[in-house]
Amino acid sequence: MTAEAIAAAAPAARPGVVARALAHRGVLVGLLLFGTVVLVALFADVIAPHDPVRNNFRARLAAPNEVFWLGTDRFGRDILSRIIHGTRVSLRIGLMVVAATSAAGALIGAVAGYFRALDGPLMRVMDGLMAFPAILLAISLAAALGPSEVNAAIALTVAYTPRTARIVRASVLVVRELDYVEAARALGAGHAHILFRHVLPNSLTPLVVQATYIFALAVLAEAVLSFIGVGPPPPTPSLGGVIADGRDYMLEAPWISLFPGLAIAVTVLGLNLLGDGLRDVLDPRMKVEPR
Amino acid sequence: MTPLLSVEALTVRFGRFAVVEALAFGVAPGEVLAIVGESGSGKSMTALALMRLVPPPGVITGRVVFEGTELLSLPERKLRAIRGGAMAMVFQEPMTSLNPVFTVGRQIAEALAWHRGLSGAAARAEAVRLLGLVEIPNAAQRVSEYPHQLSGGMRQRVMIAMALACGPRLLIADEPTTALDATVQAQILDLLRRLRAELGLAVILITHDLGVVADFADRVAVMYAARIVETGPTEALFRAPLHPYTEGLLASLPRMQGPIGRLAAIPGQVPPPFALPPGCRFAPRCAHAKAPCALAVPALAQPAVARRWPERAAACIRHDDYAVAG
Repeated sequence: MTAEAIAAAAPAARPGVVARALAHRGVLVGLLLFGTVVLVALFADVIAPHDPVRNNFRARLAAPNEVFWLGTDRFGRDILSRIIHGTRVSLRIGLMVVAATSAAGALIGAVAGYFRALDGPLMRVMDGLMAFPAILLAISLAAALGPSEVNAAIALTVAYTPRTARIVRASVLVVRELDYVEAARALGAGHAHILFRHVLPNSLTPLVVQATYIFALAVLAEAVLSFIGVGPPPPTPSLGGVIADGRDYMLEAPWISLFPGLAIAVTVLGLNLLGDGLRDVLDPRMKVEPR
Repeated sequence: MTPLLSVEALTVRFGRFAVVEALAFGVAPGEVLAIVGESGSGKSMTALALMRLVPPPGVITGRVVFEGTELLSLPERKLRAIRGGAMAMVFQEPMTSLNPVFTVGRQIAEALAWHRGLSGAAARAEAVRLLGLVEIPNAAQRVSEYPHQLSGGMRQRVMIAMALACGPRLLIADEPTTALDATVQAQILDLLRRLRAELGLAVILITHDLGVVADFADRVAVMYAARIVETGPTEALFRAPLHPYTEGLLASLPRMQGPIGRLAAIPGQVPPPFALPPGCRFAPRCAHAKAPCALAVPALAQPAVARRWPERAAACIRHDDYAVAG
């Protein structure tokens, strides 16, 4: 065969993952919703019309009006500003939890899946953690550690790491048997190299999808922690905290709880759409029909 | 000549069952030894055992002496320096033997980094040279491509380049052409033949394809149900097989001359390791088997009829009273 013929025999490149993701309606809508939330959080200081922690006793429990678009709470604090700043807290915790669970899960899952002797001990600990409902575990841990943003993130990380560890382990179990792993071993590669260069990078796709779900779960769970008072302490505006503020005024001032609830719903919806879409795009076997 | 590799009593067991049993052979520097056998005869496991890559719970026993070093008792660290260094391996499936997330250049560079301490631009230049050596056109451009951008034949060339990266003296090729088209197969064999001549490489070629063997190998070892049943120089073995199994294998090849008829087939199939017949393992499928064949596993020995060929041996108790037709 001539050089040209060999060159021509190479298969054409297919459209990249990014192009395929952007063509997916779920990914697009999810990105739009979640992207808006992220922008709001990033520019909270600029967008928020009022100081989220300043009391204004002349405007206590004001209904939505032209000054306070979404009304005020019992201290006269602007709900809109509190939601805008609360988004920032929620996303910050979500991000910390995603980063920590991904790192811990990838490490634990990779070690458990690759070194079979450690599989039993590690995964039984993970199973033990999973035996508790995640939210209950997070609440007890957060309560024990004391209310703070970082503690809430730690509690949620412990609660959700078993999920990422299991997912990474499952995919490591598949990848470690692949031919190129054996080929690397035949070329003299050591365990650490094989695990971190060959096995792990090829095992992380499911984790990308899982990370979006964990982000959504963490935002929800952070709201729960704040709602019952073991999240970031007041007066830090957090979405769950704002909802909790409205608890006693549900009939007189429903806007206090309603609007932060909506904000949480939009964030979680966006993340879930994004996650579902990414799964369709990244895993051809799961694809039903391009939507 | 002192052998490059000498194997004695090599056995691989999974639990009670031996998938490779009492293998003994040697490879001289620059020699091509073909290990031939059907699926399940243990030939791929033999290749893995030589590099101590048998997956757990497999247990390897015996002796594998490579350039004076006994490999089976070597510490893992020292063994890693030999794997991919003095002794390299090419696998059957080029489509899945490359890591999809790295460029081919980077994968070749890895081996260069471990064994030769090359990095950065030096490793890249060497990777380009190696790709050129295995006749990949536009090597300078191909080196930064990902495996999915290459065809099967090209990937197998890349695998060979990786195997050659650190100047091995022995290349173990486990069915290197099985997954490829016939035309590409011929190209890869040509390439191996050329590399062997240029680099003085010894090759252990694992295959079930006698056509490939006749083309390329100096010596053949025929495996059946975990044991070597016949070994000898390629030409002599093809002209006058000593073991009925070799005879059957040769008879099942399509012929270019003569009338076109049905291909001869050996009846039955290779017994699995957990249901081996007593005595000679080929006896149940052998047209020449007699009662004594079921008594003991015949040893690999030089038959009386083969005095003229001192390097030949077969494991058949009948090879003195029965001359196998060629």
